[in-house]
Amino acid sequence: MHIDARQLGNNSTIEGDICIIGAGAAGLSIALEWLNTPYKVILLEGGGFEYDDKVQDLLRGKETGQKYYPLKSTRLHLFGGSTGHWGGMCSTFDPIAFQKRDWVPLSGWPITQEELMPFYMRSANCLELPDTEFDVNAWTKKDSTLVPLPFQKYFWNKVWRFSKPTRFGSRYKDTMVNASNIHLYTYANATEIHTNENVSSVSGVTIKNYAGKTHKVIAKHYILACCAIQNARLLLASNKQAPGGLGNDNDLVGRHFMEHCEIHAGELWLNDANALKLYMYKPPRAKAELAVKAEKQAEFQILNGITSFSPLDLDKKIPPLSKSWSTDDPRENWKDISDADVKARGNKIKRFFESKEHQSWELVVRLEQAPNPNSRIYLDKELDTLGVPRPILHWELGDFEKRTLRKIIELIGKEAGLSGIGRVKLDKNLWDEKNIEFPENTSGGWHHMGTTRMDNDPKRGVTDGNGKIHGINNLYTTGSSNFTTGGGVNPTMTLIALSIRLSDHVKDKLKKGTV
Amino acid sequence: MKRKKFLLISAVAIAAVAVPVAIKLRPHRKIRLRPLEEPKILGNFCNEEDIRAIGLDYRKRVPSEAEKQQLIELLLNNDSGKKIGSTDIAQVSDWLDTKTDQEFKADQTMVVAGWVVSVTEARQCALFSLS
Repeated sequence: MHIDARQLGNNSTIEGDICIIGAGAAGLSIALEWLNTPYKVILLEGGGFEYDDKVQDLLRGKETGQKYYPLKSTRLHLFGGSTGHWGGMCSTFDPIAFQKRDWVPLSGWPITQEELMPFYMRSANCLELPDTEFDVNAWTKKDSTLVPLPFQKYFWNKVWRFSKPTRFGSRYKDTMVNASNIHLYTYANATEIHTNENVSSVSGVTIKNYAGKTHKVIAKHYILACCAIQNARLLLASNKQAPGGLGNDNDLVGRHFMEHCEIHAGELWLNDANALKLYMYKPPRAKAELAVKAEKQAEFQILNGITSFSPLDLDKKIPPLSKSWSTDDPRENWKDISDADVKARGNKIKRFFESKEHQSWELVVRLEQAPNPNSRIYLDKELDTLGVPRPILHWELGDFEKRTLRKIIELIGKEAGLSGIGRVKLDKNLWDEKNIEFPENTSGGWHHMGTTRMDNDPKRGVTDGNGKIHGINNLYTTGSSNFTTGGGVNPTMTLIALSIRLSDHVKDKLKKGTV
Repeated sequence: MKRKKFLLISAVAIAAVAVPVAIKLRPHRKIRLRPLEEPKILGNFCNEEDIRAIGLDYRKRVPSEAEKQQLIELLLNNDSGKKIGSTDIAQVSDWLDTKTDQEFKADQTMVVAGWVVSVTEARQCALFSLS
């Protein structure tokens, strides 16, 4: 059922078994798991079913360090969350992403890829993936025109599958509204989490909206699923009982913010023009990208990263995302990006007659960022209209990421030479090994990760391997904020898999009657 | 007569479109007259200015190989001390191409002026930059 929290009498108390804060990909994927169960689920969404700029403005913050998009525009604050503007790219994190890598500080998840795999498979349902075939050989067998590049020494072909993309807002609205045990509250912004005196258990959550209403939610378990920035912000802002914020005894909440740097970093020049069909975006079929083999990451002591291809002449015409996604309004930015793309590619007729084969290709790297405590979310003195301190993002990249970027392009160059298919040229910013500045065109993938990182050691992580906040027995975070490291691919599928896993865990606890 | 005219016009029209397209799509291949200073594959993508830039960068990075004669010797010898016995352009070309392939296999590559090249290719560019 649906309740607009603006219409409730002021100071209402809402009670349930579990309270999910946030109705985006993470929150809704959990709520779907609780449909038709005997439990009363309180699902809180700060916005409504449509874009509302006053609500969106609650996400506004400041950005320092590495140039980043305006924070207000990087997420959608409405039912369905940022699935309202995502691209639908799905892939699993590699086994190495979960492993402890001696050369990557703070690496090593408390779970393995193998443990997460059943949940990846379950995530495919709510993502409406046509299949979960991530093996490139299966695709090349099905279609002989999909030919992998002859790069076998350093790389393998990482496969993407594509969601429609499922817009969780429109896709699951009726399901949630019609569910008798799911109580969806819109315009219900969590502004503070309250605990008992010794901060070992959550006693309630305050919700507010700009209609001036304040309510309280009381549940047995509380799950924060409102994205990596807002999860950290809410924990830090809940500082009445714990001065540094909840779960922050070791000063970790908000730290280790990670993104996927997306950088146009080199050129592949082929002896013979090629369409690189396997590597082109053509849903519903799979698309591959070049990923560095795990053993080579170890050999060269580099991070993960995967590379896609864009025709060079076209790529030069498209402005970098860091320039075209520049305003506070996500809708305007989306339009700017789409317009720039259409302008560069030309109309459908032109595209139809255009050759798909190109001799020169831009190499676009999506790069893993190493966990770095100085790359972080923290609170500003300025408050939003509901009285919550606004977030400041300090995004910091370092020489590790830069060295990895350079090495990836260099390895592609070695493969091109080794296979005799052509040569590679690095972007000018990468020529000097000592230059640790990132190029002007460095963009993020809108992938916010790591601010409530998982680690079974409270000195290294905010939550345990399930997502429970250390020291607080009924408070959890989920989503990409829990990522211990960022992997090389988009986070959506992994964050949903983690959320479903947490959902099972909480369900189990409720069944056993343990808190 | 009408049919003949139609066919003729059609042929001319097709040629008007097809010839420029074919020329545009034709792989750009150079005939190497001076193979010692013209890296084969790299030469497909780089103009003289690029080749010179690679050569200059190589000489900066490896100042011990700044002499023309020295570079020629290095190009005509391989790692095991074997020297090509011919001055035939085609044979020298093949010799250099084989050396380049072997160097990529042996990981004897470097980044010079942004290009990932074999040592032989870099030396060819260096020689070009001295000419």
